[in-house]
Amino acid sequence: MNIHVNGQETGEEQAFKAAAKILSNASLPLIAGLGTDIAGAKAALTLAAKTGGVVDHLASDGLMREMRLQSYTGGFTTTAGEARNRADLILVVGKTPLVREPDLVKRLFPTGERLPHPGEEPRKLILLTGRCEQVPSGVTVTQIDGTNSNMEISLGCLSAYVKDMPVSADKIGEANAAALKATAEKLQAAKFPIIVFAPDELSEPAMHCIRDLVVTLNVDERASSIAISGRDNATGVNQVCGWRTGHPLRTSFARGGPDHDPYLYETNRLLTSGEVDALLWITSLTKTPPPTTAANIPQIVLSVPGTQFSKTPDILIEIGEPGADHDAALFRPEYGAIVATKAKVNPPAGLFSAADALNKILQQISDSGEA
Amino acid sequence: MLIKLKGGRVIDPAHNRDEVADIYFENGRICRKPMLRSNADVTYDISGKIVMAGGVDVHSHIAGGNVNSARLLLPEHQARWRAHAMVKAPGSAGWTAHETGKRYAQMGFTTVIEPAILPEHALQAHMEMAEIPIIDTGGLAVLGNDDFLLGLLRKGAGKQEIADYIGWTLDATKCLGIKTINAGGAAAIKFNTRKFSLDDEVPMYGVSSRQIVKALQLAVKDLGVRHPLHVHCNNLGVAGNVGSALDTMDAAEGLPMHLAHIQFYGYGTEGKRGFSSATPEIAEKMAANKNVTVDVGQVLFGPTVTISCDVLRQFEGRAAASPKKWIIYDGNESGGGIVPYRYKANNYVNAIQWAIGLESVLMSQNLWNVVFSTDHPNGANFTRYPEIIHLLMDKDERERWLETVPKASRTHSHLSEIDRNLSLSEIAIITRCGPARMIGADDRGHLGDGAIADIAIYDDKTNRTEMFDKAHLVFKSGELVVENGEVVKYPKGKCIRADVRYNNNIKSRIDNFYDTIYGVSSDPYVVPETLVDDAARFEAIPCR
Repeated sequence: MNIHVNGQETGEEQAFKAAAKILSNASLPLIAGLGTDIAGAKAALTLAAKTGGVVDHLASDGLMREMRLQSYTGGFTTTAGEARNRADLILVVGKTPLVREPDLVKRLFPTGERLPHPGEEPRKLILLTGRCEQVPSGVTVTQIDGTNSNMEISLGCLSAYVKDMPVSADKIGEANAAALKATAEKLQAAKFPIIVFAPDELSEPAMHCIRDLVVTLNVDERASSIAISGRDNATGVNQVCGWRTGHPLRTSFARGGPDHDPYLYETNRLLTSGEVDALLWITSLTKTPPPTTAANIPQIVLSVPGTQFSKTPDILIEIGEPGADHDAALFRPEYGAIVATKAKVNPPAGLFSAADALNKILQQISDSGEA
Repeated sequence: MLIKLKGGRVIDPAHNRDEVADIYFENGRICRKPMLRSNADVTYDISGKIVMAGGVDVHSHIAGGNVNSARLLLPEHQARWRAHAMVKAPGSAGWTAHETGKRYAQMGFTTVIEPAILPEHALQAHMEMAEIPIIDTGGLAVLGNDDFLLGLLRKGAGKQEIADYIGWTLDATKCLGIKTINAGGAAAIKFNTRKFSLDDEVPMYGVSSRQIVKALQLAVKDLGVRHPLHVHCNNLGVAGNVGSALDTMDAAEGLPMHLAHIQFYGYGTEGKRGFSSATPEIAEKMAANKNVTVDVGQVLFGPTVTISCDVLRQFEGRAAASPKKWIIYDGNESGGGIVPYRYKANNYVNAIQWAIGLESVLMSQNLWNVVFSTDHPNGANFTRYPEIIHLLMDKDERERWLETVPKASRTHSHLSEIDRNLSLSEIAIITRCGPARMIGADDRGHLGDGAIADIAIYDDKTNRTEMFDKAHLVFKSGELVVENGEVVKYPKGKCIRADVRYNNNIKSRIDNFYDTIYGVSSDPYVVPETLVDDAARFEAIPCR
């Protein structure tokens, strides 16, 4: 086990005490990264509530846009399992879904048995800007070009075509307009089309267009959508924040009750503005170091071994990887739920879990937040 | 430590008691007055106060992915919960797991069942429930729209095979019982079916809703699960739908069955708007079918949110969303729909719904088979239970409310003709004894020797809303948790589950199904108790 204070190897007791002191002395501690399992997220939220801090996640940008949109409009969602079995048309928007999940097309277009499903036509895959190297056999694939820079316009036009509204091709060009019109017709003809997108890649207006066209398609037939979740268990951690505070991530406890604001409580804004004066950074699913903008404030880092830092953290506590070094509950996109993930090593590695380490820090802090 | 509650009025209908008496408890259980020791270690003088067992709620949506999605859909509801929050703990106020435990405890409720756990999402539901302090919880696993069961029924699987699957599901999800929600309906909407009744078939499966309900009912009974199949019928909320409830009661064929939130099925077609109270038909049918139990699903006026795995109903109901936003989730085995809604006193239909809920209790000939619920938060927030108790106990209070609803709604409901006021004993039946009996929790819901020392002590106020809003004292498993209406301690609750026996050979077929159909292993969906919390959290109720 590797525990350092100011670059020197030290005992755990000393490190946890020092960490507790930094957090309880801070006016506004930021507890971020949060690349951890459900138990780690619970402990981090308890720590934030006790010390009056802010919580955010290292991959929350897209998720926060999605959450904000959801709180304004709601929408239709489904699972990869339903898409695999029942969708007769899958429209993948953008490049990120197939980059993030390289075997997505293979999973959504199995060669074997499927459940009873609506629609008799051969299954269709439409890629709006995305690229797919291995096209499943028996699937009609359509590739639509266009760039991410005009994704809002492309999706806006697509939504308009689906609503049978007039569209001017000026902004997107005749070829794209024709391709989008043809896509709209296929969406209208499909029995259960599903749109796959990655919030990380899309703006709120772009996602709003997807939401809107799915709502329209549901007037007469069924349709739904799947958002590819953020990495490092962002969705799972966000769920914990939901049942703990009633709000998504980017929530502050500085004013007592939980207070959510997707702009105000964003990691980089808080660091560059100098509003936060201590950082607790947790990264156990990938080796993601804290942002360089945190260089001027005390940093406590809980990370998996091998994480590289541009600045040596004031306190470094090495922790295990959930679902590899210890049993864990994690949101896993292929399961579409928070599921149990067993350790890959037996007996589990002798590293602290994030929850263990955070609970040790918590033990050093009184209910009133004093270390 | 022996604790004595001295001189309270003990209301315990399970033992036909309504008398001034002392109650003793030790090590978390109620006991007789010890023969050898003359003094208790601690005595609470509660003369003039009302003593009841802790409340038991069999149908309240308190945890799980759909509840959490509702939280994130409706930030405006957070402020509403905060306004209700009476004790401030850092970061806890709002619609949270913590606040749920706190408010239930303040009202003297100590056991609450989450009635809609999607098996694939069971781990999250359990992790949320583990963060609800004070109260004990339990869950009902949702089946009946899942393709594995539909596949079994389509191929004409035997009773044993179906029972093994149900047994495996209960074990994997660590649930207390099985619920079916618009059986087949959430599967049918995937084929764009928009209306689904008891004898309609799921497209391409050729299996009717009735077949699904019957198969599940028998399997639950054969496994000896104490809580009978919990049925959310077809056609919820549809005008003239009373037939769906009556047909389902007939389909029970004399065997135990629980029908959820019966108010939402009590609709006739009388009046100009073709919407009226059909409570007398339900009351009459229940009097003749003592195997059937129901919970009420009371509606109260105000803004709330409907959360249901009845995807078909929620899909159709989205047009009435207020505010105009909703989430419809088509899941693998079932799904969910979250539709915010505002019940209005001046709305004819809402006023009839409100009246039917109260009628369902007040017109019942056997209160042991009718338990209290708002289908939280579908009819109203559970935090408003005290208002409903008040309405059931006080005709004058009902008259005050009736003055605010449309005249036509009084004509096409029966509430204004009812003089019955429930006694405290009858309130205890519908909020304690009946529900505990219904879920097979023999040591809950009463104050007899050996029962868990879950005890609520209320001030005997004429304003029953005030009385039941904040208990004078509440003990959870013998520990003092509420004093003068305020929570003084937040112990962890337990989770009750069914201890079910089944043939595990079914597992290889389930594994094979998940591998082929979903391309994933079924193992990660199985809830490990130690991942939820300490394994001691789980308390198994043996099957018969």
